[in-house]
Amino acid sequence: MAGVDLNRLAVVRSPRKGLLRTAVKVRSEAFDVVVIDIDSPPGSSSIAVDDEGPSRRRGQSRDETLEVFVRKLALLTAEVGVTAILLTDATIVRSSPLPVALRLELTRTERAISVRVGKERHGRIGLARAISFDTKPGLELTG
Amino acid sequence: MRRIVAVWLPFLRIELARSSLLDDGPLALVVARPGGGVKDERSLLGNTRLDEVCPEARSRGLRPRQTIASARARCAELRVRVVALDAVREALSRICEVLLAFGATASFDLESNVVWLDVTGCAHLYRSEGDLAGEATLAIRVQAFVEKMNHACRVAIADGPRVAAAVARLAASGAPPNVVPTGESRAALRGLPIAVLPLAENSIRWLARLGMRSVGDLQKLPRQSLSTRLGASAATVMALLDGEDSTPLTAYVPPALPEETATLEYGIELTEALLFVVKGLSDRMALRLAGRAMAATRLELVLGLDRALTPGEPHSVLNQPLSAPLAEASEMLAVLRSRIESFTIEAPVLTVTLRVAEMVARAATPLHLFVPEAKAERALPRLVAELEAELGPGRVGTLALTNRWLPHERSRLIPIGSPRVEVPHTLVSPDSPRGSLLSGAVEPTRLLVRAIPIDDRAGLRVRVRQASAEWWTGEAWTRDFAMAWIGSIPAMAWVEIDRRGGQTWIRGWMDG
Repeated sequence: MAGVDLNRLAVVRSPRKGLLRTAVKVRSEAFDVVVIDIDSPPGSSSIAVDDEGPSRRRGQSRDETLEVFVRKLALLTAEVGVTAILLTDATIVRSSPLPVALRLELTRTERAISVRVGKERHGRIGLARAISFDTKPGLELTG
Repeated sequence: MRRIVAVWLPFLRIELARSSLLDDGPLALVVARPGGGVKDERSLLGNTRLDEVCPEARSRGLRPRQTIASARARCAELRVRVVALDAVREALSRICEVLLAFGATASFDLESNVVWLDVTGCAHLYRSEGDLAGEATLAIRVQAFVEKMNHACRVAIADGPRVAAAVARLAASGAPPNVVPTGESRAALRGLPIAVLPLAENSIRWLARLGMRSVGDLQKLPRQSLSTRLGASAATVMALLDGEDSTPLTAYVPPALPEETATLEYGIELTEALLFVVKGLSDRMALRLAGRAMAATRLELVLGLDRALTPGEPHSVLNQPLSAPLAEASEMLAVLRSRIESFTIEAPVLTVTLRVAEMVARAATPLHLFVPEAKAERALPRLVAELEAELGPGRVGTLALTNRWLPHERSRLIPIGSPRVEVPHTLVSPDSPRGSLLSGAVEPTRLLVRAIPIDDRAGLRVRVRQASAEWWTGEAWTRDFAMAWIGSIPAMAWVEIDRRGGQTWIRGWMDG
């Protein structure tokens, strides 16, 4: 379980279409950390998040819609003191980077995960570190 | 000694009639009684007599028993509404049910608009330094509860229902609840008019002609000579004059499943309008649940549709099971809002019924004196119920490990709060001394909830292939898993190959 207590991890399987609305709802005071998987896996019905909010109807591109969503989410989470983590696919090309406070770029190899700071509030960009797996990654029964 | 709370609702019928109006002009009403000639506004005639008038209409000289024609001659902008006696009964029943939170037995009288509550032995729960008996606090809370339901009321506590009702009816408007101390009923009745006694109208007139205007005047008369003049109700009246009121209460028995209904004059077709109606129903339902000390585990919203514009069934039922018991109005509304927003209104809605189809006893949670209540525990049930209403069942939960090797079956989603099945250590795959479910093979980083079938197997470029058999589950066949390059995407996929049928699926994706 890699240190994660499954009793304290709530999973919400939202359809891609309503992901943004669900994410805004989930950022309540019930959770300290909300992780949102934004980009669909390859081969799914929709590659990018498809929002049907008013901003989308005004003819904005999906990247612009996503940017607006991230800004709204940042404001809402700041109100209730929730940390939001967005998981995005590094291979997807965006017209502009998402407006986040901290961007970490992860690269996985067979025996380690390489973490690189892509954006940081105080400008400490480029720091990198490889974290090797002590055990094999994945689910593990202990006890 | 019994202690009875009486709640008199002086404007109940006017409030019911005004609930469907937008303006606050002069209003009068006619009660539609079963078997009577008046059924709705269309059946009103000029010579129909008014049953009640609002204070504004009264200030303009209108009185009950006046005909509609004469009332309109005096006040042209008078609006006359019909209130069904069943609607009055329903409103009084609702108040009874809500007030059961304060006492064991509730009762009501349809003609006088009075609700009684037996609070014998309950007042000490509201005791404080300023109110050693607790009855004044109890009465104030009862009044606040009824006013929360948008009903004006006057409240009194006494030893019996008749005395309490009489004191409540004759209290000044806006005065605090009147508490008659135990054994002081005789003194409390002394200043009240003789109309509060259960006497026939001609007896009251006769006594008035003799100069007997208050109960105190009758109390001074010799009992033996008085009793011969009081008719059939002499025994009751004589006991009341002595301050003895042993009138029994006819207990109100609430229905097994509470429900609230709103009937609309004009059909509504917009979600926002429907939500507005549902909010009122949720508020009233929450009060009913509070009276029963119960919480809902399944809600039903029945929408009665306009028959003329409905091709199919004339009603729609939104059935909403709740993952956690809910009792607050805001919680129920949040769940119903999610459900209604994803619902298409096919025809104008004329009636809306909110029903609690299943409920459980509301669990009391003791609060710690110094440690604040965890916000998550308060917010999570509502949030989960809201998400399930929006996304459907089986989409919100926690992960539970299962005794499987296959990456996409190693965990499954279970409802939040449901008991977990522990995986027995003796059954896990024996390839690790720590009882690990892991294999030595490379595994996918992203698993798909639904596998994608691949038609063109010939185009697959398989890199690594491994076979799997879960001998501890009793599966007789072997599955092949492979890393394969999918050129059309392009990406490296984790594919499953079924040896028996030859079908191939993409189960997940690899990094890089």
